[in-house]
Amino acid sequence: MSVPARIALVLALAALIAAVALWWSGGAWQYGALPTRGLVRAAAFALGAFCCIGVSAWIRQRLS
Amino acid sequence: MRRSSFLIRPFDYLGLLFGIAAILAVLYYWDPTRVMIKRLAPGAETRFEQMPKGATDLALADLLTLNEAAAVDMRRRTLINKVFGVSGLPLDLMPQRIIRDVEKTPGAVKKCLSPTGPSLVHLWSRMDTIIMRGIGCEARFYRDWRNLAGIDELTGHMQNRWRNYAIAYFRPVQANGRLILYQQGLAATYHDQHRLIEAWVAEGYTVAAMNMPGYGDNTCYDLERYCADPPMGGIYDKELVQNFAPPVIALNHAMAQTSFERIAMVGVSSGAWVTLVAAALDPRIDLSVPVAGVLPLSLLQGKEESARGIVVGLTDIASVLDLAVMGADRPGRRQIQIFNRFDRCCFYGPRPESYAGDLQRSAAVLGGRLDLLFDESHARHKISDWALRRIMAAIDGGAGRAE
Repeated sequence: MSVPARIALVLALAALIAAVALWWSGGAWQYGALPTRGLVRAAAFALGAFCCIGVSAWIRQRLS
Repeated sequence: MRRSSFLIRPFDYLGLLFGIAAILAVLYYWDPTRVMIKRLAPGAETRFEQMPKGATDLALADLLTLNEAAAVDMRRRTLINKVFGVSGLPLDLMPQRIIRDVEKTPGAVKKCLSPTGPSLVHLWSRMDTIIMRGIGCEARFYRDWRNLAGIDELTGHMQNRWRNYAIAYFRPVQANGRLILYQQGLAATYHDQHRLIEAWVAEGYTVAAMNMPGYGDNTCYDLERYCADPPMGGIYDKELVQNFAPPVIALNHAMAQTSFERIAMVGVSSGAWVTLVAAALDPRIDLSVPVAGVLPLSLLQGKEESARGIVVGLTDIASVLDLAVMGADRPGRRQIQIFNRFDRCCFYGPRPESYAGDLQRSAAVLGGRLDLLFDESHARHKISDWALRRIMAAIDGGAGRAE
């Protein structure tokens, strides 16, 4: 895995964990420190990162 | 090798971009950073810090007119007459129907419009189904709450197949002698606050949760469950009653079950307006907490204007500020108005500061206590953890305890 892919993976994972933790803190929905909209957006971007890393790994495997 | 890196690299860097975007999304929406963004945004000073023109020249002498108990009593009688069409508070007004232990035996429901349960509802449901969540469908998710003895549904039908109300009455196993009336605002139901209600019940509070008319079970969508009984009709066949009778009915019902050493009412957004009026009408409410709402009508702007409809006809009798004073009109009674200074929706900024001192003095003259708090911990339209800590301190500490 390349360095950019590793950084992407770490960032996406960190963002996803932080988003879920903040959203859930104090009771989710209204009470969490992150609104549901923020959770959905952060999760969507993290998913995008995982997909890109997955595709790159798949291509690397096919061509090696 | 060159061919593979040519194909792989774009995906690696696109992945990196997505990863950075995910981090930025968290920072953009997280409450503390959101407040910073709001503070630094163009026009923030005008919106959140500066007093708008109309706020500095409020005719307070016309808006704060109550300075003795007899005047408050007279004004209250006029208000009660306007809302209920009778001279005294209808203390005998009880629910038409009570469905006991609805979490165990929910009874027949027409259709669960939002059947995903509270943990998934906001992710999987459409807004029009979220705002129609009914206790008959949701109560089974609350069955295992700690200290919950049961949930009773209190219902009534006011106008033939048109106006009704439904109150969820949460009974704790070990009660702490305190009752909380919770009034949800628009575009949501009290089910959105299930974690808050769960925490209250676990602590021993008895909770009566209410929606605004047209939301949740407060429609005749489920005709058989809510609007099949003969309507109450007569004096109860009007909009004002549908707004303001449920808190009185919930209180009447609660006090017929047991006695309470302290009764509080908390309302958010439009629910704050119902809380304001309910506390003015009913002196049994010791502590009232309107959150993210309630301003003198002349200070309303933009989407806040919709609040006029809730108090139409009532502000001719008592101004919004007089209504507030009536909610804190004697020793032992207190009102805390909480404003979200950076609220993304409405009722933001420093406007209440222009009359806060006069309002507090008016209540103090009558022996009550009125506080205005500004929540700067977030930029959303909600009851925050910050606000909740202060609300609970006031409920548990009585009229004298301050933060």
